[in-house]
Amino acid sequence: MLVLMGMSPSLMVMGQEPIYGGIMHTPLSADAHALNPFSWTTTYEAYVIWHIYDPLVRLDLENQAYACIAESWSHSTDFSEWTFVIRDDVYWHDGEKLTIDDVFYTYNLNWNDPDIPRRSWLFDEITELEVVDNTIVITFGWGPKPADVLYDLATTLIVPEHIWADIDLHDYANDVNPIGSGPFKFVEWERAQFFRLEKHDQYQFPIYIDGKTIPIISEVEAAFYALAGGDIEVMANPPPELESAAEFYNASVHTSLNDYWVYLGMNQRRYPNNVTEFRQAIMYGIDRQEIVDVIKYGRGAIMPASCNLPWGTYYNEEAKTYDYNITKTIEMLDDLGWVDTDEDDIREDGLGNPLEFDVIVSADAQESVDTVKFIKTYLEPAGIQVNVVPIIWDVLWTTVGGTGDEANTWDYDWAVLGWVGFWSDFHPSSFYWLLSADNWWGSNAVNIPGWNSTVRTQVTDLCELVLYETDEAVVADLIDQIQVLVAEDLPYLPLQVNGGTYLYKTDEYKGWQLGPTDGPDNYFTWLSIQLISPPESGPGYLALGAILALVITVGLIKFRRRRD
Amino acid sequence: MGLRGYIAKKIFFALIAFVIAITVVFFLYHVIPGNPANIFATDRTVNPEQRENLLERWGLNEPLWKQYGIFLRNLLQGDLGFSYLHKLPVSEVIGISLPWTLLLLGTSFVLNAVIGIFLGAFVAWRRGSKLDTGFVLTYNFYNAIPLFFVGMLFIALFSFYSRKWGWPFYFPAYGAQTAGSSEWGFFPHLVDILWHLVLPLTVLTIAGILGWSWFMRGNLINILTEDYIKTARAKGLNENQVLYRHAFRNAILPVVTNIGMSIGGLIGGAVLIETVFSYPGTGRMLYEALIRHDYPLVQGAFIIISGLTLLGLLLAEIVYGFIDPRIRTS
Repeated sequence: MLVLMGMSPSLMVMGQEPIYGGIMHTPLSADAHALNPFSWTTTYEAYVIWHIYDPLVRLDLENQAYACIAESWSHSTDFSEWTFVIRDDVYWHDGEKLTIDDVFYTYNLNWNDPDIPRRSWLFDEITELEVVDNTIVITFGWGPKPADVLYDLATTLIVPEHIWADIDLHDYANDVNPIGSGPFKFVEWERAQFFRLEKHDQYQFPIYIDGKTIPIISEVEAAFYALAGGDIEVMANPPPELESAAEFYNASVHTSLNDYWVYLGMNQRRYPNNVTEFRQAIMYGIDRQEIVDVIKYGRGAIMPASCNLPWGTYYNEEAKTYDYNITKTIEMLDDLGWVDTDEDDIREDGLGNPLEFDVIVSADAQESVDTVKFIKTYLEPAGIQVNVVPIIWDVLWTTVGGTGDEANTWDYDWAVLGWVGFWSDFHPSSFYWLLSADNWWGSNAVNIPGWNSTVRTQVTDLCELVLYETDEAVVADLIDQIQVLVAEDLPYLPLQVNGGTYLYKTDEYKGWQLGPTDGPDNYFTWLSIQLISPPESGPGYLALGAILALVITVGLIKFRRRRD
Repeated sequence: MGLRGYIAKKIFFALIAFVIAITVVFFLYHVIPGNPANIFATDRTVNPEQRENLLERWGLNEPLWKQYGIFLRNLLQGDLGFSYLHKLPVSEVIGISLPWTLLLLGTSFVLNAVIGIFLGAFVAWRRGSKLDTGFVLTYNFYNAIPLFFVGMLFIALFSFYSRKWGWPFYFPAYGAQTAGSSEWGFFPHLVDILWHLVLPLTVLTIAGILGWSWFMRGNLINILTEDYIKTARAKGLNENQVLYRHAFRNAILPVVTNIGMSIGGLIGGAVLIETVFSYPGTGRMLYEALIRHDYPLVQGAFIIISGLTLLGLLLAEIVYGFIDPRIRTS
C-alpha cells in the first residue's frame, strides 16, 4: 500500500455562531414510487434516498471524492487492492451503531447478486472481499482507476444488515420506515404529496436545520409562485420569462451543467451515413450554439465532437471542434460529388439516392423535437432534406437497438438521443462505455450501429489500454488520442450538454453551497445551510384555522337565533 | 314488461358491456408498441439479461392469452394486480389517491350538478334577458380560456399576489395539505385540507356550473317550445306549474343520463387541474401509469372507471324508469 488518500471533511461553515432550526422546503416535480436503495428507477426516488442513506464516499462540488462513512482509503500501486477505513461515529437512524459488518454485508450482497439494478459494474471485477478490524479490503482481478472505484463503487449506498438480512431486496419497497445513516431521518411520506425528513441527531457532521420537507409540485409555474411567496426555498429550471424577475423575489440564480448530453446518432448500417466525410459535413452544418441559446434558453453548452466535456483533467483542445460553417458543408458535399442532378433542391448521394433523412426523436422530449426542426432548417440550404419523426420513447429505443431485441431494429436513418450517467471528463473508463466495441453500450448493437471503420478498432484498443493502465500520464495521453480520433471520425455527432438553472431564496437561509455541476440543493448545502434569523414560533395556519372556526361558529349561532 | 323486468334487463346488458370493456382494455393495452422493461432502458447498469429477468418476474413474457386468463381469474378474486411502478397492490395505489379525487371532484360534482341545473333553468326561463345574455357571455369567455391557464391565474392571484399586496387571506399554490398537519389535531387538519381545496375546487366548479347550466338551459329552451307546454299554458296553469311540473321534469332527463355517465369520470380525475395544483388525485396517478406503462395499474383503474360508468348509467336508466313511465313500458 503506497498511497494514502485519507480526507477529512471540511464543511464550509460561516464563521459565526450557527443558528439552529428551520425546515427547508425543496420540491420535486414528481413523486417517488419506492425508496429501495438497490433498485430505484427515477431521479425523484434517488433524490429522497440520498437524504436517508450514505455511501462510503460522496462526490464534492468539484466532483472529487469526499469521505462520508469512510474515514480514509488507500490502494495498492497497481490499483488492484483497495482498503477503506470506516468512521467510528456513524449511527443508523434507529440508534444502532454502523459497523464494518454493515459495509461488508452491503458490498457482499452486491458482489453476489448480479440482478441488483443499482449495482456498480465494478462488483463483477471483485475477486475477494475481506474485513480486517474496521476496514474493508476489496481485491479486483485487475486495477480499476481511482475515479472508477471512488465515483462508482464507493458511492454504493450502505444499508443496515439488521434490517435487510431477512428480506428479498428485489421486492422490498422500503417505503414505510426506511432506516439509513444519512443526514436525514425519514418521518412521513404522503404519496404524491410530500416527504418529511428530520435531521439525524447522531450524524457524524453537524446539521443546523431541523429537517426538510419535500413537496411534490408538478407544475413549474406553481413552483415559481410558491418560491416567490416563500413556501419553498429552491426550484430547478424556472420558466425563462420568470427567471429574470428572481431578484425581485429575493431569490438568486445559479446555473450548472447536467450529467446529460445529446447527440445526433446516424445509423451507419445505412449508406451514406457510413461515409465519414458526410458525417463531418453534417456536423459543420449544424449551428449548435444557436440550439443551446434558443432551444435551451442558454442553459447548457456545446458538446465537443470528441465526446469529452470541455473542463477537467482529460479534455483535449487539439481535437476537431466543427464550428458552424454551412459553406464548408456545401463544399464538402460538392467534393464528394453529391450534387442536385434533378433540380428538386435535394442532392443525390454516390448511389443516386436523394439526401433525404427521417430523424426519429422522442415525442415526449419537446426540446429534442425542436432540435431536429432546427437541424432541418440548417441543412436545407445545403440540399439535404430532413424529416422530423417524433415517436414514443419505447419505440425509439427499440428501433435504435436499445432493448437488445433485433426484430424491427435499426430501421431508421438518424436519431436524437442522449447519454446520461457519468461525467466523462473525470471518469477515464467512460470512453470504454461510449466507444469500445467490447461492451454492449458502446457496441455495434446500440447507440452507434454500423460504426465499423478501422478507427473503431483503434479506439476500442485504446479504450482497453485506458482501462488497465496505471500511469496517469499515459492514461491522459491515451485519452488525448481517443478524442482526436473520435472528433475526426464522428461515431456520434454530439450536439449539446444540458444545463440547469436554479432559483434559491436568500432572504431566509444562508450557507448555500454551489458547484459547476450541482444545483444549490446538494449534500453540502444540507450540512451548512442555516436560518438567517432565529425561527418564529407557531404555524400561521393554526391562526387562520382558529379565525375560520370562530367565523363559522358565530355564523351558526346567528343563523339559529334568526331561525328561532 | 314491469319495472323489475326492466331493471333485470338493464343489469344483464350492463354486465355484458362490462365484460367487453375489460377485455378490450386488457388487449388494447397489450398490443400497443412499447415494453415496460424500458423503464430501465437509459440506465447503463441494466443490461438486456437483467431486463429479461424483470420481465420474467412480472410475468410479462407469458403468452397474451395466458396473461388474460390470469387477469380474469385474479379479477374474480378481487385482485386487480400489483403495480410494479409503486410496488404496491393496485387497489392500494388507487385507494391512496381516490379519497382526494372524491373530495375534489365529488364536491365539485355535487355543486356543479345542483347549482348548474337550477341556474340553467333560471336563465332559460329568462331567455333573452340581460341575465341570460350575461350568462352566455360568461360561459363563452370562461370556455375560451384553457382550464389550466385559469388555474395558473388563480395561483398567481390568490396564492402569491394576495400575500404581496397584503390581502387578509391567501391560499396554497400546491398540494392537498400542509406537510405535518396531520399532527395538529383533527380540526386544524380539516381546516388545512379545506384551505388547500379552495383554489382547485373553485376553478373546477366555475367551469362545471357553467357547463351544466348551459346544458340544462339548452334542454329547457327546447322544451319550452314544445306543444304540450303551450297546452299547459292554455289550460290555465300558472308559470311555476308550467316550469316545474312540465318543462323542468322533461328537461332534466338528459341531465340524469349525464350525471350517471359522469360518475365513472370522477375516478379518472381531472388531470389538468390536479397537475396545475399538484393535487394528489387519481388523474395524475393514472396519467403517470400510462406513460410509464404500469399495465396492472392502468388496467385496474380502467376496470374501476368502466365499472362505475356502467353502474352510473344503470342507475340513470333505473331512475329514468321511475321518473318517466314511457321508458319502462316501451
